[in-house]
Amino acid sequence: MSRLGSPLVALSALLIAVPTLAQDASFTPVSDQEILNPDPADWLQWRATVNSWGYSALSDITAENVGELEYVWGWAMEPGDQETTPIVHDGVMYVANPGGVVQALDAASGDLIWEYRRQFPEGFREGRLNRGISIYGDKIYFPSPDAVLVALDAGTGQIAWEAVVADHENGKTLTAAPLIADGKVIVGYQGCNRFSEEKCAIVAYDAENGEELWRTITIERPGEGEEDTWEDIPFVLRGGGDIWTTASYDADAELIYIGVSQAKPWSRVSRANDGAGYYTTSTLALNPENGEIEWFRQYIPGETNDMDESFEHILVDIDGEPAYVNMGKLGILWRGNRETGEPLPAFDFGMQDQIDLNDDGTFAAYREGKIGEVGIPMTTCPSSTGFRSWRAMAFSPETRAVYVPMTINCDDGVVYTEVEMVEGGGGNGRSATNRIFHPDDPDNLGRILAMDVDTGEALWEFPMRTPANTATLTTAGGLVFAGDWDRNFYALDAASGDVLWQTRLPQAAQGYPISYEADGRQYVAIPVGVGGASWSTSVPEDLTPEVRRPAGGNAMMVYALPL
Amino acid sequence: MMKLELTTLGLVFAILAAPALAQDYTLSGGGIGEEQIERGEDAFMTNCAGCHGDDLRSVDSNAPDLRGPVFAAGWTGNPLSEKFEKIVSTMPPGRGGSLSDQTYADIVAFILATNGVPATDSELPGDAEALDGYTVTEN
Ligand code: HEC
Repeated sequence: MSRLGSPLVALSALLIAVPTLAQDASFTPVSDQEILNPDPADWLQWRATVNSWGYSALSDITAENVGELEYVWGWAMEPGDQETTPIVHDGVMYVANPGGVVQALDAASGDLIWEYRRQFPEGFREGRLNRGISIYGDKIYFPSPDAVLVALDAGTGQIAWEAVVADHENGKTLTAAPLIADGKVIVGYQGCNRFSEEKCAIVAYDAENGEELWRTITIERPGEGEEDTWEDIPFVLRGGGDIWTTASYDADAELIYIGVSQAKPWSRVSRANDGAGYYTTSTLALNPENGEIEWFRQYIPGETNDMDESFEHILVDIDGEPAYVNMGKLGILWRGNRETGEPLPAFDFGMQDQIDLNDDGTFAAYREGKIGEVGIPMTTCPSSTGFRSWRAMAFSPETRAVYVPMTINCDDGVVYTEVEMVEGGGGNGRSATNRIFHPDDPDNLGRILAMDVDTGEALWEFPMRTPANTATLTTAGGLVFAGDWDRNFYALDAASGDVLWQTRLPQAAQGYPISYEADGRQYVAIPVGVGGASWSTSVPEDLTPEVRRPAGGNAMMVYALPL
Repeated sequence: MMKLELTTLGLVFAILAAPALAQDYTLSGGGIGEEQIERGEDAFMTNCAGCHGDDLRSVDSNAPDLRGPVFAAGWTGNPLSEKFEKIVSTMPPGRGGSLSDQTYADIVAFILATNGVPATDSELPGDAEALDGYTVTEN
């Protein structure tokens, strides 16, 4: 099975040198100005723009004509765990496949322009996932699963430079697209579930030459603060703080915003520690110049049920204040001032059963019975899948709502246990669980929630039998695009939630849909595929067994209005 | 909020020492065979180690360890068929049932052996109903 180290790999590595179009000559580098204010025809960043709205300003496809959308081209992708985001610049789509393959495709026709195939070390697990890539200057930045940041020549796919971000032999891996800010390529990594001196971190590189400029670890060192938030356990035993989403950037505030995951093992009883555990379950606001933490906000001190509370940060002004919103696994819309980190009132979507909030939007307390005890089964809503996860929500400036792709389910009979408190020990500390439907929604696993960021009110909710399985995409045509595990891809009316168009895909919609323009025509691209964690595998397989899918099939599918 | 008493803490730190490779567990109802364990090791390394680690310590944040305290808590006391069925139906994620039942049983034999269940001259059957009568207990 292993294609590693075979002569074939060497061959295909050479093949990358065969650009089928004279791309070099026509390529226009992406400037700092474009990073901050991109041409709406392009989709340059993970969530389109550095404010992470996931919003396309293109408006040729509207509520009136979206019903005519038709399939234009597709591209089968490599096997493996597929959660990708394509990016587009000047009519070329760049896409990372599972397993370290990156391609440049003509975004109008689907023709291959170049391909890069990474050679992994012997025995490296095949088909590992990627959630996106970045573009800046004349380079594509690919966060490779072996924890290496690879800069490719955008015109040819040749390697420009490589930087080892972390040690893949120590379990570290890159999954999230880097942020481009301040001339730097800024990327975080995950794989901090086992106890190690090597902590997860956010790292900045010089975009031109790959020189490491700064590195900020996500775990407080002993003696760093006035009071040790890890209750003085040795540094090596402080796990978690993984990074698996991309930062947002406010050039005026000169800050980048990134979400840090929970502590590991997941439960306080497993990590033998009741401390707050800085900087886990937090937003970090970093100075892009030097990586210093300008402010941070921890959502749940000493989080104990694997609730990542910090994914993408949507930068949007609220009541005239520079603000951000962020929603984690609990389905709580956290809001705050993005210059100071000062909390604004938070909105609980209302189905979590774990914590209470104060009126000012801060954590009040865990509810009775929601802090695990060794060996005692407990129930939590949501389950550790979260009501939401990597599938990013999008914001629409027209409705001032965020559109949240959700999976509604709970953990029943979760049992946490001790772990080996030694270097190399750790893990998640969970010895059993069963996923069940939420008692308040016994028929559906999936939902798209449209939530007003000013009031917290639900504009509408769209139920689906299987989990929402993509990020959402909003457009200036008044539309929201999203897909489910049961292979449906929808265009919804952003204001009303009405289904305006839908199609059946060959495989589950899975990844981040985008919209772009090439040769004057607006397109919508949706990745489809398999793999990933339990939200897109065991949860629907167990709870909606009547829904059958093909076993494999990763691909990119592209739609447009008839010519 | 301070649920964790010092005694528990002491216990946790004490338990750390136990990489359970000695004969720490007994399997009742039947046995696991030497050759089966070897077959299971091969299949585990190919199909499972990428997430659960080649030493059964998880390398994927969502995947549990299959050794140590997690094994002690999750694999003992109940009919072995429960774990077997869970593995057959859900592992590897998204490709449940992709191996033969016998290969899954071989993998289970390897997991048990690595945790210190001694080998015998019989083999674990790839049959959930038969595994209903098997239980792992801590010595
Ligand atoms: C792609 C990563 C991956 C691979 C490969 C994988 N697992 Fe898992 N495994 C997981 C995850 C994630 C979970 C947690 C279950 C969940 O959240 O759905 C898990 C859970 C388990 C559990 C605990 C189930 C329970 O709740 O009692 C066992 C046992 C297990 N895996 C065995 C295996 C075996 C045996 C293989 C090889 C045939 C395998 N796994 C391959 C990721 C993986």
